Amino acid sequence: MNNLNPIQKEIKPHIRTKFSPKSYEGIYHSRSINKAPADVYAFCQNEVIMKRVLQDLPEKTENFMNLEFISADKIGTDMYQIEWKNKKDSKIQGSLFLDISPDAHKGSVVIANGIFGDYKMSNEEPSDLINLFLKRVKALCETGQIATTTGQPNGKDEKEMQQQLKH
Amino acid sequence: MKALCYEGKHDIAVRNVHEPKILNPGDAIVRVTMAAICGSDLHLYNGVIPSMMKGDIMGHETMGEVVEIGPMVKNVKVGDKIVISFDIGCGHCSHCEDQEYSACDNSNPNAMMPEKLYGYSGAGLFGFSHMYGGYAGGQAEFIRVPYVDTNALVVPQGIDDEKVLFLSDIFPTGYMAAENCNIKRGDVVAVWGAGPVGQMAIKSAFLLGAERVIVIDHIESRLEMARLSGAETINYTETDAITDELRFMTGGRGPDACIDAVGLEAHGATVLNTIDKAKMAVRVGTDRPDALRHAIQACKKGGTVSIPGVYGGLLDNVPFGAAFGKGLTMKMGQTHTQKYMKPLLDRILKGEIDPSFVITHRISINEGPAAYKNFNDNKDEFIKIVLKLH
Ligand SMILES: NC(=O)c1ccc[n+]([C@@H]2O[C@H](COP(=O)([O-])OP(=O)(O)OC[C@H]3O[C@@H](n4cnc5c(N)ncnc54)[C@H](O)[C@@H]3O)[C@@H](O)[C@H]2O)c1
Ligand SMILES: [Zn+2]
Ligand SMILES: [Zn+2]
Repeated sequence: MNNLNPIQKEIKPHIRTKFSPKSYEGIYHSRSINKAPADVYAFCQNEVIMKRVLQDLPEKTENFMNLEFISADKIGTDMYQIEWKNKKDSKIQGSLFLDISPDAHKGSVVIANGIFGDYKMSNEEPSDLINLFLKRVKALCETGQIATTTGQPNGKDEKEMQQQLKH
Repeated sequence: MKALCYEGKHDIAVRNVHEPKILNPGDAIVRVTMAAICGSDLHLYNGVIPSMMKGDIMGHETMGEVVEIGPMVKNVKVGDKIVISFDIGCGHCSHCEDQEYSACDNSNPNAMMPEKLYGYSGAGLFGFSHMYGGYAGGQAEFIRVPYVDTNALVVPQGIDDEKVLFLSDIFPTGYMAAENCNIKRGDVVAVWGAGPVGQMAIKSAFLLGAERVIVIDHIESRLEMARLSGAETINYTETDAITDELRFMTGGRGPDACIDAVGLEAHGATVLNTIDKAKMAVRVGTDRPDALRHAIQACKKGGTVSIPGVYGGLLDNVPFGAAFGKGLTMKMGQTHTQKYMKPLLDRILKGEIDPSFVITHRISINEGPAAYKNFNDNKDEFIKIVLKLH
């Protein structure tokens, strides 16, 4: 890769085109997506879609997931890389790289690689968030929806309904 | 609307709750006409499945009439009568494409929980703990069905609910359990547990060509029901050596396949089961796998052990050496219900089977809390309970 961003350069330049853990710095997770790499590539650089993916991640994500689109490249046959980067006003500076390649089985494999300069100082663990982010990318890409139960009925409604009646 | 809610161990209550609404474009809202209580619900009732929360709406064997659909829905329309699969598939991930719906990648919003416990998460399930997604269940007047295009079977208008309700779970579960046995003509299949799942497994084993089915339980009314389906029976309280008995009944070979339709709360007074009980009571044990132990022990060399019974954690004293020594095949898991719903509906419509034979009680939702207690404590009288909701 010749267009390494400053944070990557600072941490350590590394070969990012070999998709094995050894070639990643920072935090990395992978998921298969049951869509062709070119489709996933188009999907993952779409700002509107990414907004939906990020939309209701837990609050603490904003340190890590306050992202804006930087670049998208084809880096080999059916292999792509996309960079999303934290906005300037974010508490933590860093980038999230998405590497997309064909899955041996079918569809694609996406690797999300988060390189955050000073995340160890933040007392937060971004690994679960990146994993969740990737899971949501996969769900939205495959099904057009993200599974949820927020807003469904629950036995606790009864108390709330009684209180409303009192008022 | 009214719903049966989990309040805590051994405590189910009828609560007034909000009606469900469409939350995703692939959802449908269904006016529930009939729902059933499953043996799996008893594992929740008994507090042995982790991550249930006060207020959770119970139920995963449900059918009704579609009253509203989201904008992405294609396969069902308002007014359709549908049976809802208990496991929730997204319809698009590679597992769903391979008809492994209960292994769906996308339907569990809490997938991170089982990923930590089990390595990977299965599908979300209706009314079956937060580890399995925390979806509100169907023992309620209305239910939201996510990805309804995948998780509904439209049934002919006018058909009796009781005839098709069990396509939501126990019929496909018994059928998949039998199918997993790889039955060849002339085979002998042994089934532990004569509950509704065991009863469906017996019928299915015969449908798939088994010569003999031998059923093990200790509840006479359930064994009697099994005999009416053509099974031979063993009351395990009347023998101290089930393996010996089965060996004798099969000319010294052992059953070709053994089905564990009991799961993690086996009864019985064996030494190991007594130890399991003590461990579970003080929370150093998670499961009582006594039926599974017997199934492994009794199975013939090269045979199959099929496990529809639910397990949750780390199992003690399972004779893995015996399984290895005899070269057994083991198959298990939550049922891929959607794969079986249509072909099994066809069998019902052709008159090959009427799964409603297991129903012993028909109740209203207000009788739900008492029904849970009865189904748990008085298995002799209560074999399968259905709730009429509309
Ligand atoms: N795999 C799935 O997708 C799936 C679906 C539905 C139900 N299940 C599971 O199947 C199991 C059975 O369900 P059910 O509705 O029939 O439950 P149930 O509780 O009505 O029946 C269980 C039966 O097992 C008998 N039993 C208990 N200990 C035994 C032992 N040691 N040996 C022989 N019999 C014994 C009981 O007397 C009872 O008749 C449960 O674990 C349930 O959670 C799994
Ligand atoms: Zn069930
Ligand atoms: Zn799926």
